[in-house]
Amino acid sequence: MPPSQSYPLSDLLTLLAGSLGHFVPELVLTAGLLLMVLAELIWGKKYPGSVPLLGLIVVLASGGILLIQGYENPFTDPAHPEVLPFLNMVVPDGFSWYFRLLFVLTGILTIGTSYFSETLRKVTGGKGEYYLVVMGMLLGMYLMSMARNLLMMYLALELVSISSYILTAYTRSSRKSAEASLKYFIYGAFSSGFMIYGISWLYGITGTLDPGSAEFTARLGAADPAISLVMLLFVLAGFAYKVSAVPFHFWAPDVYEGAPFPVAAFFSVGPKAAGFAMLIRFVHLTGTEGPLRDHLVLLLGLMAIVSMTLGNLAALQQQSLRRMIAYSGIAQAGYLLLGVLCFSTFGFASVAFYLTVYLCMTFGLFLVAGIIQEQTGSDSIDSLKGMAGAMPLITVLSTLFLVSLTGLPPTGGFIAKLYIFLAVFENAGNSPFLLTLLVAAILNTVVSLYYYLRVPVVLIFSKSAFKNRLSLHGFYQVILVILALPVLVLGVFGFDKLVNFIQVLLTTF
Amino acid sequence: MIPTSWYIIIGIFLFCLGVFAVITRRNTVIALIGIELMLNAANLNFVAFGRMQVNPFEGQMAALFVIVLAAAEVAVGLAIVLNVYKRYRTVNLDEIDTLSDE
Repeated sequence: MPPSQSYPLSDLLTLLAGSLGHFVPELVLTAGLLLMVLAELIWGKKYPGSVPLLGLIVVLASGGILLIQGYENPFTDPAHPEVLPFLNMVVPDGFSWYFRLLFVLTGILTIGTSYFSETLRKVTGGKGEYYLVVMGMLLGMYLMSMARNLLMMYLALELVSISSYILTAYTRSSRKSAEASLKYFIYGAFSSGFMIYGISWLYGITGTLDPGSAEFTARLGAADPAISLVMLLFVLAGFAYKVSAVPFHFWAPDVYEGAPFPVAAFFSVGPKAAGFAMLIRFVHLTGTEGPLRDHLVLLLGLMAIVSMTLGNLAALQQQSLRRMIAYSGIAQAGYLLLGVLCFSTFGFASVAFYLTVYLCMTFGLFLVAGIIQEQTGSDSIDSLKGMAGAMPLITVLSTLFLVSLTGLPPTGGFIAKLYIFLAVFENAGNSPFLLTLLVAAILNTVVSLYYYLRVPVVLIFSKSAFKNRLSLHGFYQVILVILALPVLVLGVFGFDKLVNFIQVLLTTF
Repeated sequence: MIPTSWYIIIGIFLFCLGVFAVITRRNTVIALIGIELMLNAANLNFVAFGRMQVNPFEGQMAALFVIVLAAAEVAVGLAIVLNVYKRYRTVNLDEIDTLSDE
């Protein structure tokens, strides 16, 4: 692709104007964010619900525009068909389309649960600024799934990160929240420092920030393997932090425990999905062939195996439900990395499918943990003893989510794991490294059985003094059932259609 | 003219200094300074490597963006540190340990 300065100015302007048409969902989010600032100033005091309502409308509008635009949205400027929007900065392809729809769903869930959460309402006092930060984060996630230029990737990642530091610290009066935000910030800024330093070296080696350009892969492949390996490791540090993979996972348990629960639920699914979308694009563009791909497979494979093992072993010992979910999330990031390092359309599609199911089950499980904590004041697994009678719906649904997270049939989690393992097996061929990874992943699934199923066992089979029924807000009931449906349905039928559909989306990748 | 490699070496030195500060120092403010050093090492690299290219603007633009981003990051970071200081009366990372595995 020719460098940008080779175009005459008039062509550049046409290209930029044409790019805007592909950027409407993001523009709607940005305009909505600004409108929400105004709404907060004008109606914030009189109608406290106006800002979240406006946020919901904006997210729905941007999702609606995505649906209308459709996923076949190549950049068509008749004069320069080879240039992507904003001179190759973003790619509004089918792959990012799918992820942006996932983010719309996450955004709706987060705004809804935040509005109905008692703890959060006490803190925000009905103020709307909280929702502004959620919207900013959502915009960052959109950009992460679309970013193609290394600088764009970094900026999108930082937009998400900085918003999440603010959201974690949002309960200012809470000691836990303050500590969680500090740890999140230190680890986040540290790993992003590694990432940008790595990017600066990649720029130095290749002379371009566009990983999709021919000279990028060619020069990086020809460079000293030691330097390119170390610098790729540095760049992957930023990704590892976002998807909470070892060795940048330390923040996850603290943030999941200390942040307000709608925020923690948002973090456990949204940025993780965005991180994987960006990681898939990065490895797809960089690791097309030869030594670079070997480097990436080695680095991602090591990250995957350590994340799985460490996450599962640490989750075994947790007393707090939220910390357990955090460590399980680290282990799940390990499984997902396996799908990424396959470097095949099927592997990438299985990751996208896994993230879809993962969104439903983890968000649901976090809701359960949050609701229980709001009602009983405790977060430990022991405090759930014999609560099955007090909350039948929650017991049934959380059992479903946990069975799905373990990867047992007939749930979506089973199918998702199966697809990932199949993708690895297909690519393993005669590579002992990939086969080892596969065996490790299967062994890890067995280990995870123990701590996932401990929760329903404690819920159902222990004696308790708790006899009264817990009250459950109607909104939470609806949301939990809505989240449970895809987990169950995708485990029985329709999963092959969805994976095929994602593979079709990936053809324009 | 100063050769480009000198800038790169200073960059490496700055980066290592930053990493060292974050890892060894328990004071949060020093850790923040370390993070700034890491970002500035990247900035120096961007501009220095840009000099080697036919078209240096890409690297210079990247450095500008990173400078702005570092400012935003440190603004949020200092607010968080202040909030922590109000709750704990300390900014020592070792003494802030309510959240940990049992």
